[in-house]
Amino acid sequence: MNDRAHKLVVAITAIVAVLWTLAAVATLVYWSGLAVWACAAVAAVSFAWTLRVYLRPTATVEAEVSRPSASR
Amino acid sequence: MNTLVERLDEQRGRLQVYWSTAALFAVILAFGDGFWLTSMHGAIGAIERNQEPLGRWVRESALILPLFFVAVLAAMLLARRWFGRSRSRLLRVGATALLITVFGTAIGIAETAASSAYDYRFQTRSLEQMVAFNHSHNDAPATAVSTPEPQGCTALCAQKHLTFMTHVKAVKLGGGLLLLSNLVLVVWILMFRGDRLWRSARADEVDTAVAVSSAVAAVPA
Repeated sequence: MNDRAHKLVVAITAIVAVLWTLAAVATLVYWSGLAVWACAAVAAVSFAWTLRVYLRPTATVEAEVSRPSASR
Repeated sequence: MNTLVERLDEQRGRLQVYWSTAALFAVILAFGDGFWLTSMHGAIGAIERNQEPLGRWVRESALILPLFFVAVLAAMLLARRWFGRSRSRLLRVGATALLITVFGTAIGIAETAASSAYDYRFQTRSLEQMVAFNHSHNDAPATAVSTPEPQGCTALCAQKHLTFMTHVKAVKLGGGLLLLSNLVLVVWILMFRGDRLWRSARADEVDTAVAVSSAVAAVPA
């Protein structure tokens, strides 16, 4: 298969996959109503933000790790 | 456009998973979960959405297929990251099976819950129409002594609540069934595709080296 045909196949496959995925997501959103998904999205973003904030390494821990005497 | 395609192609190669295995998992899980969804709809679904079960099963399973594919791919990549370097094959394959089952079941439950929500909307609308129709035909004459409205959730409210609780119960039961059937299906697929989950970088390098050497050999001196 030459390069041009290969690129065409990849592009068509990608477009079909994206459209198909969007159709699946749109169906679920339509079935359950937008409000549920908006709430779920807000909850997911809040959860991710909370994890990011609370799992962030603190300056004290970094100092403990980088100090050579800390491990002895 | 060319750059985008090249980047996609590069990304596809970098993931180093067997795409055919991921696709097989996705197809079997989507159609397995679709079976439960169709069965559940037949038991408690809205009459407005009644269709031929076989056609409905094929159509809805095929529609949701890409979400299962994404879930399976995510599970395979996470399993490789977390357990890929483990020496125990049992741990590697078992953890992958568990992750694919959990991710697949999450998609199945989301699909079932969304479908139930859609059914519930139809059913409550039917109930409201039925109550409105009965009221318009059984209106009491103006001279009759009016009885006080009963307090709390009765009549239409109670029927709506009952319908809602039926859907909740069905989703709970369906969730358990989905988990169990997905686990069986995943273990079954892993029995004959367990050795073709992830491509090793070394094997790819060997493939590339073979391709290059054959290309060099093909060039006339």
